[in-house]
Amino acid sequence: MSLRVNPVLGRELRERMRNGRSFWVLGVFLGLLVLAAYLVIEANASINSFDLARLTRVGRTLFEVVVLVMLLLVFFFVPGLTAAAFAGERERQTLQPMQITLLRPHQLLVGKVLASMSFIGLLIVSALPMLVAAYLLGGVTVTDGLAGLGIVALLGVLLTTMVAAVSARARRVQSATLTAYGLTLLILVASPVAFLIIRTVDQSTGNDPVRVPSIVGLLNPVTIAADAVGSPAGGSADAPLSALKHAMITAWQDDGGHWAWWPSDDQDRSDRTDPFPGWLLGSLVAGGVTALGAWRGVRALRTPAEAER
Amino acid sequence: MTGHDPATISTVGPTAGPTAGPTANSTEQAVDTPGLAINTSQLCKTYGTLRAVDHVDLRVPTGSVFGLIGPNGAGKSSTLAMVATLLRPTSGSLEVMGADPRRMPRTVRRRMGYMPDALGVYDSLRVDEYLQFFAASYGIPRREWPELVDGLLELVDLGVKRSAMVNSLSRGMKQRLSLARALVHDPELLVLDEPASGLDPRARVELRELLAALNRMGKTIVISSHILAELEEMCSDVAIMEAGRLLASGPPRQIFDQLGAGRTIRVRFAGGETETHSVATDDEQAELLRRLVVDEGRAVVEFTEQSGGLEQLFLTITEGLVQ
Repeated sequence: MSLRVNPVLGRELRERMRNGRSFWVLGVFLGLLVLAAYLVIEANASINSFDLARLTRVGRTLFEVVVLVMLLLVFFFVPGLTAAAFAGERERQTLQPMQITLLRPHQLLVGKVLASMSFIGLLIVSALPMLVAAYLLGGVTVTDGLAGLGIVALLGVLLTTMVAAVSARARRVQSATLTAYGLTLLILVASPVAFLIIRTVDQSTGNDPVRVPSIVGLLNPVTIAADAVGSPAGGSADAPLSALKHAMITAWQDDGGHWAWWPSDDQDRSDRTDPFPGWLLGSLVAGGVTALGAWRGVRALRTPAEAER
Repeated sequence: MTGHDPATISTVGPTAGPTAGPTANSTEQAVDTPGLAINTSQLCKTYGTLRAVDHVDLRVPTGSVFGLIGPNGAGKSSTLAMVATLLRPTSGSLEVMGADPRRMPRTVRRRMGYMPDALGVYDSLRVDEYLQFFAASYGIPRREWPELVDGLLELVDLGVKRSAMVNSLSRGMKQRLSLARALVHDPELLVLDEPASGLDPRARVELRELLAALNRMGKTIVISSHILAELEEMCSDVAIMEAGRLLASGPPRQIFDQLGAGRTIRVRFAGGETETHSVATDDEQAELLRRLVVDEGRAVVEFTEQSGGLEQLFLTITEGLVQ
């Protein structure tokens, strides 16, 4: 049985690995991750190596900082690496010859997304030594590590797909890149901004306590990662994802255990600490938005002769 | 040169009557029109208010080398893009190898190779990798790639460049590589949009020889150009377009005859005396020779048609349109 690789994926991997930019990006990615890890270690340099409890907290903090920085770097690099996927082909006038082959539009999109994800995968794998260092210090389980890598990979796939879809609709690389970075910024800040606006509006109406639907906070990659990776207990304030998760659970409990404005019943569930996995809820919403974007991207990749049927 | 009223010379030009809508043939099954690789009827393409292709009836015989002639902006590229499943006609019907590109684009793509006027290349691929990518894109099994790539590179005379990066090739070589790409799935119909633009004279000659060889292999070739000299020697049929309209179509000689555009015959007699005569048809040409030799008893040592070729034909036809 022969395994048929998506031709676009095969070609893209060849081109990317021959392109010096890939190694430059890899270097910057690792450099920034190492810098973040160094700052965590340096901030705790005075710890007695026999204080296992504190070493464990440092290990946890290091792990969460590495996952958070990795996530932010993926969100920084994905638009730059993927925005030219189809807009670049249009500019180089190589898209039409590809469109009139027997490849279907969705195969073109999947090939490009897989190629970008392969590179993101390389970035994630290259960060493994730092996660292993955190594991050796303690406070991190193998499951935590897998969850951290998994959620970064999942969010990376969703963003890559969205940016590839943006590129499929763009005529120029420049406009695709600007739109992709604008979209990424929106994804990162829309949820906190909405959260603040709702709280301000609620406060102005004199509501007490201020009710902000918990789901608003979950429509953000950082909070999704925090919910997937963070410790519910909160841990030390230095562990950013655990602290964020703790704040989210507190807000959810304060809201009577409701995800939205509409309560499902009158029962008070503020004593619960096992809410429906917020990361799954957030990821499902993000997945839905991504699927819509991918559908529009695939439509844009059909030739006019097909598209207007 | 005498100008002509397009209405009188356009044997395949616009006709009156309702035009078929975009979905007029949407329920038809693909049926090969015997002897025709491309068959259009009242084909139109508009961009906003600009009518780029205006009620074109084009019939490309199977096995022919068909030249689509016209100045820049004549509608050649739009017509070919519709044939190549890249553009949807605004109205009219279109069949490529018996299939409607709107309803069965993949059927058309399997049987047609298209070379656009702009040659886009992948900077970081080698020549053989470039062809392998397109072989994979056409679903050709991997085990067939080595032989296929070798054969194509030999055909377009790029065997020695097999491992060279595509961006290191000259323009002529890139054109040949692009042609090899269009041939990768062994199509019956080749559609080439301005394949010789930007080529030096040697590269043009090589391209012409290559196309002739492909035609001998049984492929139908449709080639557009606004450089008439390069089409003159290779085309068995031509179509002349201007401002989106098809003004004439058929074998060049037949068009000349239909136009009554006249041929100039140069006659040289023994002793060095020369004369020129104008005739309109083969019959008149034969009658002239008979009269000179039989009736007048003159010693004709040379009897040559001074054909202006495609260039004269093009100028003859298009002159009447541009007022």
